[in-house]
Amino acid sequence: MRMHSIARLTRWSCLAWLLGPLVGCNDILKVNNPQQVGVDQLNNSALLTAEVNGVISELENIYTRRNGALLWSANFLTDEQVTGINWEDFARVNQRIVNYTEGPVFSLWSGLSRVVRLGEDVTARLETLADPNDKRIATTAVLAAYGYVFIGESMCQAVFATAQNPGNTILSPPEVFQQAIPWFQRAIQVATATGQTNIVKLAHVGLARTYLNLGDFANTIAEASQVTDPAFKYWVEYAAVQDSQFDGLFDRTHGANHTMGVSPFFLQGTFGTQDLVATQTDPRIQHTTRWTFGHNGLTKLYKPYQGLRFSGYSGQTIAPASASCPGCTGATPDPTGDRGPLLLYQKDTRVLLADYLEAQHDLYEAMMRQGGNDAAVNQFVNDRRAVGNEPAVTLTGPALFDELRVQRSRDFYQGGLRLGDLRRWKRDGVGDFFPTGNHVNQEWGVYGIWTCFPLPLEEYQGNPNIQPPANPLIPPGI
Amino acid sequence: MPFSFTGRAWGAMGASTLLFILATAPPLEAQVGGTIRGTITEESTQRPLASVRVVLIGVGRETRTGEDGRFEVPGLPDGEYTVRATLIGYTSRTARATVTAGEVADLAIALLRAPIQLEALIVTGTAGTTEKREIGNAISSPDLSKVPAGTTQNVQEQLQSRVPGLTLMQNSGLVGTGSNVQIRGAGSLNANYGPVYYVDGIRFEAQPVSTGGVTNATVQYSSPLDFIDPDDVEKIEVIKGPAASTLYGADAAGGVIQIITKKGTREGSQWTASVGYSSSEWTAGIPINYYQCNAARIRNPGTYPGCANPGAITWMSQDGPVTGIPESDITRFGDSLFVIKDNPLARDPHALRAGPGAEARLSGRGGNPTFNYFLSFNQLNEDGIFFNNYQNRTGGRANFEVTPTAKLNIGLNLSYTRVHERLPLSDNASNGLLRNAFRGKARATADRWDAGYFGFGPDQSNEFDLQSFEERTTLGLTANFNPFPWLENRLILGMDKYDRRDQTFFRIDSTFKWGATEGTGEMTQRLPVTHTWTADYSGSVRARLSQTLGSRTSAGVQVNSRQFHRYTGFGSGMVTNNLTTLQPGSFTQLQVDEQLIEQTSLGMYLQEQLAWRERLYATAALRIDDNSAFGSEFHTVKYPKFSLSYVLSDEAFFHVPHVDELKLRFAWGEAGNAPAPFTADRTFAPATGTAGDATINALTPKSYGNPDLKPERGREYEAGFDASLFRGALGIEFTYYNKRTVDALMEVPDAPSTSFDSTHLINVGEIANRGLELLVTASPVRNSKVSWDLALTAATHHNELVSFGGSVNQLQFGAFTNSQRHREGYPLGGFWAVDVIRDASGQPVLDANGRVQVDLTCSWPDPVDPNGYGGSCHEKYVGPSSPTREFGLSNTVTLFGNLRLFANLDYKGGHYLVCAICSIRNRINTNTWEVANPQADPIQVQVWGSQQTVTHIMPADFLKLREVAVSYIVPPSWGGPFRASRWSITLSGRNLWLATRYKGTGDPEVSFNSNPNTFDRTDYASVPQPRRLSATITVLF
Repeated sequence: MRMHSIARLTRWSCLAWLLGPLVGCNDILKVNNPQQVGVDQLNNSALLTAEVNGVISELENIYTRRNGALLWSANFLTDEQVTGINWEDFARVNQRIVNYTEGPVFSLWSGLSRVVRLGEDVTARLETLADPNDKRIATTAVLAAYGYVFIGESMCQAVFATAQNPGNTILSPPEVFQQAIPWFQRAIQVATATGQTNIVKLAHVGLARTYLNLGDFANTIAEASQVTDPAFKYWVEYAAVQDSQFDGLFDRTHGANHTMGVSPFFLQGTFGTQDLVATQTDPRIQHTTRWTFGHNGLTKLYKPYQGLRFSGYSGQTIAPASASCPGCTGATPDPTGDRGPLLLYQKDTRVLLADYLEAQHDLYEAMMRQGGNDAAVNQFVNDRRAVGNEPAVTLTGPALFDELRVQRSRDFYQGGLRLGDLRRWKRDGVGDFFPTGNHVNQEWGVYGIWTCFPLPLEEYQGNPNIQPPANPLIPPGI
Repeated sequence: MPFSFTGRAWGAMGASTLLFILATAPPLEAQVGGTIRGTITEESTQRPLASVRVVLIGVGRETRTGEDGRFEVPGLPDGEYTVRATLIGYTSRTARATVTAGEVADLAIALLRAPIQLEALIVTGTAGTTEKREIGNAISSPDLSKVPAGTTQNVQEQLQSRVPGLTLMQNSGLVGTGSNVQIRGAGSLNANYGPVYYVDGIRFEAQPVSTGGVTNATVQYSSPLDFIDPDDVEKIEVIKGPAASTLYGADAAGGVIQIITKKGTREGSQWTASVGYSSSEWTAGIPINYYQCNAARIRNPGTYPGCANPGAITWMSQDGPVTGIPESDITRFGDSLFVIKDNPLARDPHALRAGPGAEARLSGRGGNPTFNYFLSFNQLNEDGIFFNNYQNRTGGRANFEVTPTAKLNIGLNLSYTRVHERLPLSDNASNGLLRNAFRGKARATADRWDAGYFGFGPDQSNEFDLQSFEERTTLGLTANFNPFPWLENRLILGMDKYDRRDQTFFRIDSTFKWGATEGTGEMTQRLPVTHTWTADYSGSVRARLSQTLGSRTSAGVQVNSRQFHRYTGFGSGMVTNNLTTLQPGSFTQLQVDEQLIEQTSLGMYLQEQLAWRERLYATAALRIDDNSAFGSEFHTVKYPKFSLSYVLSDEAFFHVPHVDELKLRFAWGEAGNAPAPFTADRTFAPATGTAGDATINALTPKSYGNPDLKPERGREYEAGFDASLFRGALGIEFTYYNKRTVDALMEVPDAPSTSFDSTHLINVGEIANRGLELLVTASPVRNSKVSWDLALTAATHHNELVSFGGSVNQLQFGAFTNSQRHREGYPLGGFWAVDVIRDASGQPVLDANGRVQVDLTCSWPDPVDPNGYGGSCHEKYVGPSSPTREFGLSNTVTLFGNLRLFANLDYKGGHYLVCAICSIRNRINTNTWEVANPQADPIQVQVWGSQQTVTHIMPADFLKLREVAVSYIVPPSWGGPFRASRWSITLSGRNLWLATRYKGTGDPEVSFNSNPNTFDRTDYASVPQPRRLSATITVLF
């Protein structure tokens, strides 16, 4: 009996001993996560600058680094580049075939959304935690505004979230452009108050771009006219310090698996021909003289040298000086493309977000479309033609507008504005200048019909407030 | 630094040696008293049985029989003794002996074969050590004794096709790569659906490991199970689902695999040495490349020199460079139309090789009643079929057991293993050998590197230098303290430390063929260190409630803690190839990264078992868990369990002819699957940017999180029986299981508009699995000259995604073809195929340009039929991606006691695999016969070259002759000069024969995506399992 008592006592003692630790078990479960911060810590004023920098970093990412980068795969829909990527889903975009389940769609949309959402969120925190006129607000507000502009130019549709919830309204591009305006204005207000003149100009150029896309030529002219400093340039910056700071276009144009090439629509010569020298007379669009195969072993790739929108632009030409091109310089490219005078995109190549020339182009297009300004536009056109080593012309009306568009395309080559331009002209009835016919890769067949990027499948799956399109194969607008 | 344990390892080895010396010194009491001596044989054949455990009950003395079946226990005081003989696969027998001082008591014991071992002691999934007869769930333990030496080189191969319900698919035939393991189907979408692993009660990190991302690379995951030498394994216990794994809590819904290593003996000693050699070869079919040379291509020598002038092409053959494509490789259809064929992997001696291997092992076990030991050393060097693939493993194990009193037993287990392996680029890698060989254009086009390769040839691809240097140290302490006969206590403390250094090195290369940055010279060092700690206490109290009713009350606490800490250093712009340490001055650019993940789980359980007349056992248990990965709004989780076991054959009324033993069993239980660490939290993470020409520190969105996150709950019942028939000649274990996962963790995309662009987990889904498992062991022939044993394992699996919980309609994925879906009412990861649009007669419908059309609108529910996928949808369900049926058949024939023949067949079927490389070869490279043949129907050529997937999703059923071995046990007289008690020679082969309907690239078992928890089953130039031939000599001392 005594053994039974001991057994019983032992049993209950064990139970009590086991249950005891339950009382103090929470400490055992505490673990560290020193590599991230919880959102509840973002209101720490010591972190605000890092949050502002997050907006800057995201803009740099979406500009050149992401798989859906504006200056790379988001540009596949235009006539500026042909791709040598062997990711089929990305390659299809270069054929203007877009599917919301694949390719760069997700990367582009998520990258642009981060710029907008972060810009708005950090602005709100600054206004609450710092000062309503904290100088950093100018940066976050203007970048948020540019996020809207890029979305309007790239996406067929958009939806925007608040801090608490995903959005529930799908917006068209004009509605998206409208969203940008108050943010630019807020940026101007704060930048003016804090003496940040570069951001003031940046915002004015952004507004001009926005109004132009909205067909509001009067305001376009008004805003573009605010930028009077020919030396004004605002750069998206990169550095060769580490991978996360590289200009993403570097990898696209270097190494055995390079993917970027000049399309026949901009090539200075006959596509497929080797040793294109004498025909490369426009310094704004210089490229390798010989094509090479890249990642997919199929596309003939003439790698572009840096144009006007890039910090390494040299203004030189491969074509030598001649009677027909006295301004040509006969530069001999270094075989690597990394030592000048003509440079491929480098790890630290900066890219323009806006500059005086862009304001001028917006100004003159608005003037052209307003009418009655042919002479001024013609002068501007000839100024640009001179940069391209082309003789002056005297044009009016549609022919002048054609030439203005050509000069715009050359001045902005590979700078991330072409898609917005093509869409605007098509939407406004100016003309459809998207590439058509057969792709240079005969095996790929003809171009498709897409002119913009749809919302990706992930947005529909993650956002319960919106419904997917009835037929995702049909572009929902221009 | 990862190698700081080297000194400690050597110290441990030295201590082991000293202890060994002490252990083999005969105890003083052996010199006086009486002796029990005997012979143990198999009843039906009278053959002597080796390694039989002979225990003197109540005395604390035990020994094992030698190869001749004899045993001896000297130094016994006068008296009566009960001797019990136990051997796996046989019914235990007892005999009595009377000992007188100075005299020998002889015993002869014959054991009857028992294919089901109800007395077997089970430690997995139980509260303390429990006999199998008491357990209501199925426990599988593959009979490793039947697997001849040298046939398996790692634990993965030991598990393959030997456990019903355990599906193991090796993702690649590369040396050192891992496997995808499921037990009873995939019970989870987004938590880890594989089992958890324990080694001697210590939690063991065993999920395949990524060696890290490399630019333009696909590198298969490596397998941590390779750290365990299969010869160190005594037993593997597999418990398969929530009904059995309740006591492991919020981690174990996918089952538990416990590896039990060999231990010492209490009398005598025995040493085993073996050496072996092997050779591996690619024997699966290699696709042939074809390329059509038509008039346009013949006129374009710049792009198609092989078409314009085949005689001028220089290519690599087995005999060296050859100029001119031979006529035998050209099929002509006219003056300006011909097709070139090529097989670069078969003709190029730089591409593949026969990979040699060598291994050596030495192990010993012995001891005395107070102290015993098991020591082992192993060395394996294996070269793969790729020139830059190999694995070298060196390791040792020391298991000690001290029994200072009859009430206390302490075991110490130590193992240390080093692995050095090199993995090539494989599968889809842009610069990988297979991708470029399979996509080559038959020497017809202007190939940049070597003729016939799409990109890199073998000389370039084999330069890829990714090496892993790994150390694994496992330390465990197990203490059993039974102060009273009715009170058992077991404490397990242990640590598993896994250090790696993954190094990727690109030499300075002025051609920049590997990339612009790589060409400047690049070094990446990734140093992940994973610590896993285990603390496990269980206590049991036994009581007799009445004459017929016994009670065992158990309780326990388990703490498992895991820390993953990885440092990564990267440098580019090398000064010289000789300065490779990541330090300023050696590189122009240096950067570092660090990652830290911690997770801890705490669980407690209480269990009550009632035993009625030692034949009917009812067990109920409750486990309570908490985990650091649970959301802040979620606290503990409770898992109940109930089981019944009834040894019906012990009843007096049981008189079924030919049935020796019959146990009926039933189990119901719940277990969990915890989410990954920190997935519940919404977080931002550091990033960098550039502003004002300076680096800026930034914070950007990282994880969307979910504060309500909780573990999945797996709920299962199983029922079955274990039977032994015809005096042990036939054994059957049968189980039906039905498992349901609720609150399944579902990974849903973050809406990118929120600025989070990854995925987060929600608990909404429901997944069902059910199936049958069968193990049949038989000895159709058993006499003194010939014995034939066979083991058949069979299983069926039915898996279904019951519900998404309304969160989404479907999830689609699948590398390259996007052809897999998670869709309600279908198996997880099922395949859906798209065909070209056809008319009523089945002919393709052409568009205005005369092109076939592929309708991809079924990426979303059909607007006509949103709940189904019929109507105007052109997508149709093909089948599951995981096997739904499998069997394994092992046969062992022993002739005259010396010659043993062994074979193992492995079948898996009912599933599908997409040959993405087939699709790409047709569409992009146009190098298959289907599209290159100029006489083919042009419309059909278009079909092959379109985005249809119906022809590329193929049945992946296979039947493999997985293992064959011939062993000859040399007669003892031959072993005399070497003092060996026995030695044997084994010739074995692995993956010798394959039958399959799969027409892709050779082996339907492989997959390019080796993430252990993926459903993505894609063949993109994946390396098939090679044929391996081995020869092994084993010597026993």
